[in-house]
Parts: sequence; structure tokens; C-alpha cells
Amino acid sequence: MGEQLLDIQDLKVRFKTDDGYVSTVNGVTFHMEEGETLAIVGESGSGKSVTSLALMGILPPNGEVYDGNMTFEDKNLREISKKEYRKLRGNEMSMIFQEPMTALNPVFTIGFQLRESLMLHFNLSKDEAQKKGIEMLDLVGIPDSEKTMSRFPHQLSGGMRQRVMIAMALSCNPKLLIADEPTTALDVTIQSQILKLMRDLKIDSNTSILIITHDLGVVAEVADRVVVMYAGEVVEEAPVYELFENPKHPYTKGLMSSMPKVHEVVDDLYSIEGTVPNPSKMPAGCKFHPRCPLADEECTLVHPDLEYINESHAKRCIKV
Amino acid sequence: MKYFAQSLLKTIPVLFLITLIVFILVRVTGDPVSLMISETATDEERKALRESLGYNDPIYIQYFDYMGDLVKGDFGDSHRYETDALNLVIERLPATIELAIASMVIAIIMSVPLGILSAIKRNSFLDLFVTGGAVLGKAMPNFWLGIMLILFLAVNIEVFPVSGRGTFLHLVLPSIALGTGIAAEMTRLIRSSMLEILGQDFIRTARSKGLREAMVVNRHAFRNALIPVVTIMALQTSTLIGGTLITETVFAWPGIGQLLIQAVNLRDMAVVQAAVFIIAIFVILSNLTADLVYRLLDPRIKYD
Amino acid sequence: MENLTESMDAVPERKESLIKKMVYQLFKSKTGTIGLVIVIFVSLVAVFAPALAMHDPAETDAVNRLLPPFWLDGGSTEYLLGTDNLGRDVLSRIIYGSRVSLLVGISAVLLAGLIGIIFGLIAGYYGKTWDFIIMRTVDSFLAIPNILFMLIILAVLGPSLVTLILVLGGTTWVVYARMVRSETLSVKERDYVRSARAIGAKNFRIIVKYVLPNVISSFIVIATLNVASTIILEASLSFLGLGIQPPDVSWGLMLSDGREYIATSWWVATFPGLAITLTVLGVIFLGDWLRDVLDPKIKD
Repeated sequence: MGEQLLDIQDLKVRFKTDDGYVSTVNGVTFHMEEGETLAIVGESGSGKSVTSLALMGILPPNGEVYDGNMTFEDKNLREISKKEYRKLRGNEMSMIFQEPMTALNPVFTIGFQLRESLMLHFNLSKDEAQKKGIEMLDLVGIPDSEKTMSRFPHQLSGGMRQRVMIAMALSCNPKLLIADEPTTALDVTIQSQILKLMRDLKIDSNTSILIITHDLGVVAEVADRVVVMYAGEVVEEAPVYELFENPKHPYTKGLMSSMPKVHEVVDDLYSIEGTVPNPSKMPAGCKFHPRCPLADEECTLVHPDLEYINESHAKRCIKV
Repeated sequence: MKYFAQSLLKTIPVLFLITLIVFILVRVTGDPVSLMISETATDEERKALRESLGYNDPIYIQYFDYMGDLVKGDFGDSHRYETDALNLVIERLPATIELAIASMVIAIIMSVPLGILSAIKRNSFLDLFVTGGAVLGKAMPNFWLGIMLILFLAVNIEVFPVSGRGTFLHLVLPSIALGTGIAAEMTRLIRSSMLEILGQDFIRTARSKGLREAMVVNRHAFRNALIPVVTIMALQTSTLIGGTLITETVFAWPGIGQLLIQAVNLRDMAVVQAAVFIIAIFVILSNLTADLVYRLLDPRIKYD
Repeated sequence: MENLTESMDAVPERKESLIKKMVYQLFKSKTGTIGLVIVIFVSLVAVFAPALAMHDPAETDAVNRLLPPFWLDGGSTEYLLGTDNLGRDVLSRIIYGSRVSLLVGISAVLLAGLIGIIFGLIAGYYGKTWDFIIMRTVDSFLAIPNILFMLIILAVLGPSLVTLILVLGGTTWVVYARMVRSETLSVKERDYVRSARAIGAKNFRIIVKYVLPNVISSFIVIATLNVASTIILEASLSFLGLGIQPPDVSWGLMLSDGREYIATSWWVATFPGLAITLTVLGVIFLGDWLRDVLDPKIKD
């Protein structure tokens, strides 16, 4: 591991709705180093995807970052101009999305969409971009790469499309690749192929990967370090082995026990009772207390801070 | 091209049915002889005319005769102009096509930028203004808009001629009158289509590549939004042609519409049928073209 | 994990009664409220026309021809919106004209709906030949502008109020036929209908019983919006001299008088046009609101 690549401090994101502002990310802090794979884990509604969109600067029109800091290398992402931000996107930092079926534009060929960012960021000619595009498709293991360039997205399978997305995202050698649930929409066998591909690519290049998932299986397979998010906050952060060996926060433990184990026959998967609270109706005190087996009165009153129990493991809970 | 030929073949039954419907309407619902002869004619004269036109034959023989004439392009003579009805209609065709194209151009010029802008500036003042204007454009009868345009731009400020065809200036008011209603419908459509597309995942992908917002909108979103718009534009051809009928009357524009309305008022059935038939072919051809464009725009549709 | 994500998606929804929801949404939607107010206003004007109008709409006044509205020089409070080329009171004619617009608009749509429902049921229920004939007819009607069929019929039958309603109704039924047909086809395949038929229940009645409630909300929405377009069509045909005939009053007819005198007397054509626009706007707003409430599936 090397230099610090990304530092997010106390990030807060809110959305404008008919009933006023709703804050879905409430002070998220984490950092990433060069070459590292960090996983953000949480249920849907925990704010993990919004965090990644905020980082890329592509929040929907009604969303905004209203507090905190995001530093990428030496650039303060909240202060750089739109133009500078655009130059980072797709170039220094790029992103792949959950739904390979809909993430590619249906009316343009794969080649067009691959060449687009190469021509934009590297000023390549169409022919040069075409060549580089074919190289990228080869790299992500697409057979018949030259022909695939002239195909339309609907002519490819889901797994192939996700490979195309990865090729597109990696084509400009980004320093940071954000992968938002990259395997969720895929078959199990395709899932492991894509994860393997991501692992391989990481060894080959020095790209840092921020992987966003609700699936601890994926985390175990690719991540170096894990950030667990709940209701727009980080509730636990630890290196991947430590987290699996020694989870602290009751929410993390809940996630762990709801994960099926390969060698066990499980009749009934454990799951955490209840749902992530609606961002407009956050409980007072610890946000997890209504669902927490350990909660007592103190938990309904005190909102715990994120505290480090050793230099790399932090948790937001007063009970453990 | 093969596809086009196939579609062309498919329109034959539709044309056939249209002629059948017209035949039924003309021969069965009314007495065509009374439409063709002066009201003072004697019973003898009526009978003679009946016989000479073959109206005493069984209905299916009449239909075959009628179809035979149609295939030869013989709609009969206009009893008003005493000349071949089809020729009369075809003479008027260029004027109507000119008006229809000019109106469509105006509709596109108005609706494309407004529809896109109001979608990307959703809920802004501009959006409110545009969507409000679109509803108003739909509620306003186009012939009234035409009259108001004459009032303001031809009578109060004498910029454009009141009526007739000839110079470019003559074309302006009628095509605005006709184009506005279509623009209203198309603006609504482009707006809702763009809104739907702008919410799609691939737009987020395009933004994540670092494309300029203008590129995201004009290249990635608009190309997709066009697909449903073209379909509806084809349906608008029907509205457009229907609109020319009345707009031509308002502006004394010497097209098929004006001719048709006069013919209906004079019960000049040969001209009415010829005009209806030509207009129907025109509409069907534009629908076919739209269908073809639609297929070119959307690679997901196969040609077989 | 699966359970976890699923439970997340299941956001509990409150069920409200439809009426309560409609009233709530009506007042939430400003345009819906405006539409309802306009429609009620125009309907009241139509019903109470004799009491509201200051003059007989057909009464001519040779001395006061083409009198401007009262606020202009030469205008008179006797004729608030001025007079036309025969000295008839524009305001009174507009008031009476609302009767024709609403009468023709509503009855033509009801007629079209009736024809459409019958043909749609027949096509969907009997299938085969009937379906083929009816649906190809529908296609032909959709292929060319309605107004062409209307013109042919009007050329044959000659213009009158009744003809106008028949013509408008008889050429716009295809939308309803398509809607009812597709609903009939899907109802026919449902298990309870199949089993009802299997035990020998009267087929057609079953279909009718299950189809009509399913199409009623779409029907109301489409019919309302079609009232708007029918009002415009009536005005267009009357404008062309093919609809309402004098001495009856119609906004479209007034516009055709107004077109001739536009160079000297702008008010004759301006006010009836405003009346049409306002009425149609009200009906469209009402229809859009009904669509939002009753049938969010239908898109424009």
C-alpha cells in the first residue's frame, strides 16, 4: 500500500423533495490508499451508493453535498471547477454500475461508447481509439473483440456487458475505480468470473477499487478493507480479516449471521429484524437502536461517535 | 429496402378497406343521383341517369365497377368544374404539400429546443412556461389562431398578406397557424420522453465518463428520446393533414383542403372521393416513412 | 441477506378510499381545480343561457351592426362584447353557443363510446372473422384523418345538428373499440371466467360483467379528453359551414362570420375563439387530472 489517494471527511448529502430536504448521507468519513480495494457494505438505503455518486460528482439534479470534504490526490473535490471535475471523471476516477443491462446506451455501438472517453480524455483519433478499445476488450476477456466493437449492447449477454463496462471504466487507466454492486444483477457463475477479473486487473495495474455491495461474500473475495454503513453513517471500519474474525458492531454481526456459509446447511437464514429507517424519520440516539439486540435506554439518547479500538478498527457503538 | 417493399404491400388492404368504406358511405347511406342532378329534374331524368350510371345493377356489380374505375384512376368528372376529378386534385397537391412541410418544419423548430430545455430545466420557470404554452396550444383551435394571426400580423401590423399563395411571406402565417398545434403536442412528447431518458442508467454512465452536459443531453439522451417522438410524429401527420383542410380555408390557400371543402359544400362527390383517396395515400406514405426512420433510429428492432 | 434486502424494499403503503384520494388530489392539483371550475362554469352558462343572455341570439339589429365592445368608442353597454355583421349580440351568442358545444361534445363522445364498446366486445369475444373485420376497419379509420370520413358523410347526408353528432360519434369510436377488445381478450383468459364458462354460465354476460368494470376508469379518462377534441372538431366543421346551420348558434359558426370582418371588427372572431379555448382548456385540465387519479398507467 502506498500514498493516500482519497480522503473523505464528514461527508453529508441531502436531496430536495416536495417535503423539504432529506439527508441520506450524514457525515461519512473514510480514506483510501493507492492500490487498495475498499468495500463499502450496507443494506440498500444505507447511503452507500449516494456516497459513491457524490464522490463522482454525478448526484441526481435534486441532490447536493452540503457539508464535509472530499480530497482526491491533492484536489479538493468540493472546490474544483466543473470543468476540472469533468476531466477527472472517466479519466482519473471512473465507475461501473449495478445494471449492465441498462448502463450502456442502447442506440450506440460498443465501439462508439468505448472510443468516446478515449477520444475525450486522451485526444486520440478515431482509429487510435478503436485500436485501444479492442485492446481493452481483449484485456477483460471478451472473445471476438473486433466484432464486438460494432455490436449493440442488446446483442451481448449481461456478463459480457459488464465486462464492456469494466473495459470502458479502465480504458483511461483510472487511479480510482468505483464499482457499485458490479455483480448483483448477474448469475452466480458470471459473478465469480467478474470478481476474478477485477482481482486480476488489480494485480496488473495499480488502480484502487472502491467496491460498493450488500454482499459480504463479494467483500470476502476482493476487499482489503471494509467500511460498514448504516443509515448514512459509517458504523464500523476494519481490515477485511479482522472484520470477519472479530466484528464489533451489532449491525455488522447481524450482516455476518445472515450470510449463508458454504459448508453449513441452513434452514432459515438469520436476518436483522426491521428495516433501515426512512431518512426523514431518523430515530434519536443511536440510529440502529430500534433493530439492535443490545440496545438499552442509553442507546435511545446518546448518538455514539466512531471510535478507534486499534489503529485500523473503528466502531460506532457504546455497548461493545 | 426489402422491408419498405413489404410495408408497402401491407398498406394495400388498408387502402382497399378505405375505398370500401367510402363506397359504402357514398352509395349506401345516400342517394348519389340526387347529389348529381339538379333539384328541379323530373323523375324521368333521374331514372335515366340512374340507369346510365349503372345504379340499378346489384350492389356487388356496382362495387366491382367502382373498383375498376379506381384502379384506372378514374374517379369521374367534377360536375362543378366539368373536368377530371383526379387531375383537379393533383393540380392542387403541390400547394398542400408545401403548406404541410412548412408547418412540420415550424413545429420541429419550436418543439425540439423547447421540449429538451423544459426537460433539463424541469420545474423551472421556463418549464412551467413551456408546458403551460403547450396545453394552451392544444386547447386553441388552429383556425382561430390563424384568424388571430391575420388580425395582428396582417391587419394591425401589415407584415404578411391576409391570404392566398405566392411569395414566401404568404406561407408564413398559415404554417405558423397549423404548426403551433402540432408543436404543442410534440413539445409535450419530447419533454416527457427526455425526462424518462434522462433518468436512465446509461445517462449516468455517460456523465461518469466526464462528457460535457451538452453532449450527454444532445448525443446520449436525445437520440434515444427521438425514438418515441418519431412514432408520434407519424400520428401527427394525420392531424397535420386534417389541419391543412381548415387552415387552407382560413387563408384561402389553394390546396386540396380548400378544394375538398368546396366540393363537400357543393356535393361534388367525384372530387370528394378523389381528394380523400389522394390524402389517404399521402398519410399512409408518411406513416411508412416514419416507420422506416424509427427502425433506423432503434438498433434493437430487427428488420425481419 | 436476501431477506434483509427484501424487507427493505417493502415500504408499507397506506390505503385510502378512492373518493378521498380523488378529492385530496383535486385540491392538490391546481390545474385540476381550475379545470373543474371552468367546466362547471361553462355547464351552468349552458343550462341557464336564457336567463343569462341579454338578447335573443338570433335577434338582428340593422342599426347597430358591428358595434364594438362597450369599453371602446362607439360601444354600448347594451351589447357588452359588441355586435356582429347582422347586429346580433356577441355575448348572448357566446352564451347560447356553449349549449351546442357541450351538447355535441358530450353526446358524440357517448355515442362513440357506445359503438366502440359494442364492437370491442364483439371483436374480443367472438374473435376470428368478426375480430378480423372489426380490427381491419379500426386500422383503416386510424390510417387516415377522421375529418376525411366526416367530410364524406357530411357531403352525402348534408349538415344538421343530428348528422353532426352521428358523424362525430361514428368516426371516433375506434379508440374505445381497441381498448375494450384488448381488455375482453385478457378477461377471457382469466381462470375464473374460464371456469364460469366451463360450468355453462352465460358466456357473453360474464364477459360484459368482468370487462366493463375493468375498462371504466380508462374509458372515463379517454372520453373526457375526447370531449375536448370533439368540441374543437364541432367548431371546425361549423366554421367550414358543414356543422351547425343558422339560425342555430355555434362558436365555430361565429368564427366564420368573424373571419370575414376581421379587418374591421376584431371582436366578432376574438371572443368566440376565447370561449372555445377556455372551455377546451378546462376539459383538458379535468381530463389530465382524472388520468392522474384514476389511471396512472395511461401516458400521453
